[in-house]
Amino acid sequence: MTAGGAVDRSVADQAAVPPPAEADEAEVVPPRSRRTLRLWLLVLYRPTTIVSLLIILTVVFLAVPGPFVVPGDPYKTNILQILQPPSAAFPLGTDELGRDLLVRIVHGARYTLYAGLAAVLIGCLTGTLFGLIAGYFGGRIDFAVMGLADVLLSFPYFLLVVVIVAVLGPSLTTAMIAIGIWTAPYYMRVIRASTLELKVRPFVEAAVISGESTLNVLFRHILPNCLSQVLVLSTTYLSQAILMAAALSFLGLGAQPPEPEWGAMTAIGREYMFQAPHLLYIPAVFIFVTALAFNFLGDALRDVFDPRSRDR
Amino acid sequence: MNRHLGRFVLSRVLRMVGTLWLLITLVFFALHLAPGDAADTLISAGADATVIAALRAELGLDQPLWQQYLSYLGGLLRGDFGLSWRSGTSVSAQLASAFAHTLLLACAALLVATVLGIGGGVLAAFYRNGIFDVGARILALIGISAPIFVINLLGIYLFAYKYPIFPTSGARDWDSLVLPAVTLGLFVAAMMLRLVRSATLEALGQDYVRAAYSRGVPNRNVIWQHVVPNTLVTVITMLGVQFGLLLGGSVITETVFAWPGLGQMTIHAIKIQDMPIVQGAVLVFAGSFMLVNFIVDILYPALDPRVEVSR
Repeated sequence: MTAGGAVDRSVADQAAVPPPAEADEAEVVPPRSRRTLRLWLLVLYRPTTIVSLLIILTVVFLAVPGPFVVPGDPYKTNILQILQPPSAAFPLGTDELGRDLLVRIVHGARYTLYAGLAAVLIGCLTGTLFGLIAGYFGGRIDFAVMGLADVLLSFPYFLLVVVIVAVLGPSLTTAMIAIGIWTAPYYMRVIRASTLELKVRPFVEAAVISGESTLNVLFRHILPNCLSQVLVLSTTYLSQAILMAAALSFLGLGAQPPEPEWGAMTAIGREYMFQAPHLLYIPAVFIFVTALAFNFLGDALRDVFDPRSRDR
Repeated sequence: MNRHLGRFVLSRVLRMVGTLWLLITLVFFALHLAPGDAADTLISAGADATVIAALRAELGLDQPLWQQYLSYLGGLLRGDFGLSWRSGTSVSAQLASAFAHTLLLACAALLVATVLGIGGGVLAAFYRNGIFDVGARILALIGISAPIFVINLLGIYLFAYKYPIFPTSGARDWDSLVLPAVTLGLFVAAMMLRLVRSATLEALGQDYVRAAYSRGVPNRNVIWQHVVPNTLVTVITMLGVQFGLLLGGSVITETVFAWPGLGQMTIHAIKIQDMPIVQGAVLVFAGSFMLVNFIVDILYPALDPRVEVSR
């Protein structure tokens, strides 16, 4: 009767009649490489993907050749030109010690990408490995690994990272390690569940019976079938890792003050937020846009590669 | 059925106690393996050896680690979290006051998050792909991508500086609660909205909803009798995760707003290397998070009869 009702019914119809594309696929399964290619085209066939890829490429550009394109020393102070708002001479203004904010932002991109990628790599490698082992071997190994994951997951969001930093001492490197450890149990759970499902599938059993080594079974038969999940998780956690690294630096537990890390710069900007708001909003916008791009990309990848969780 | 439920609750209690013990052990040894203890500051201050030895004896740091561990465990059973390395005062008293502040902030923020997250999520799902849905989804994605401290600072800039309605920081009157609670609530609401929206969409696609429509049940009744109750089950199961998000977010929010809660206390204690405070605060954080998850676990089969209680 209302607009809501009409929409509801269309949702129900969609569920009742599967889209023809899927029906075709069930009858004639195209070769795997072509299916994968089609999925990637589906990811690319979204305006948000294009926009987020452009943003990510920009950040990569800032990080890799950026410091050579925008010359200047991110630590060089100039007492005569402190807290200058953006102008022709200083496109992003200067900070409380007269340092050029543009140069600092460009150098900061490296910290952000490095911290995010390293953290996700640490979590992805350890989490996937432990998840495979727990799922494949089961029994006591599974119990021990999942018990450890349970303990790690019993820390509220962000607090585990804070505790690890407390033990190892504040620095960007410990922040990366801490964030990596935080993501590991999520990989463990997902990969374990997939492994449990995959290890009883005929192709894995055939490999086992034909005498392939356990390493081969794990890494050549089971792991390749988990890769799309690893990819989806990694993209999503990349944005989380970037946000957490920035938050740690903001709290003074990550990158330390003179370093041009975006989170640490936001912390300085907070002290001058009323006199010189550009010190706050410029690094904040860079953090936000980078995280947004990775979130968009993660959503797109998840919709295509993990259709069960669509709309999540 | 009742005996089943009793056994289920008991097994969950045992599991929680086990995980809690593992957690205490892990945190204790991790923090005690960290370099430096209370005596180090006195050494740098040039105190003589007898004074240092006396202080270490007073704090129990001269005993072997396993003995410190056992006496810490024994203390925890009596609600004693030990003595602060810096001030020598009882950690428990400080924890109690800080926890009350954090709980107040968390509850207020949860209220904001629930109203916005559930309301927005259900509406977005009903008007799927409409203007409201697209707008809510974009706002939620922005909320997820914005660092929480930026949301906090934006709140301060707008409503404490530009339009000075609320104080910038502190915890004196009720009005100093508004900005931290709302900004923290917005952060959690973004995640909640996405989850509620997908739960509602899933409920809308179920057979019983289609059956109700084909019987000619009016739209309003379908929503209130079939969709909303099933969405709520999902919402409650996710409440544990949301609460964890809230506690973690409160660490940052409290620091920005100088709110005297557990989070601010933890960050400050890490910076001055006061490990008994860090340890106590972390245990209270994780303990309350576990408790909420435990309650959700128990409520789940009670709310959703389809869930079989596993032993």
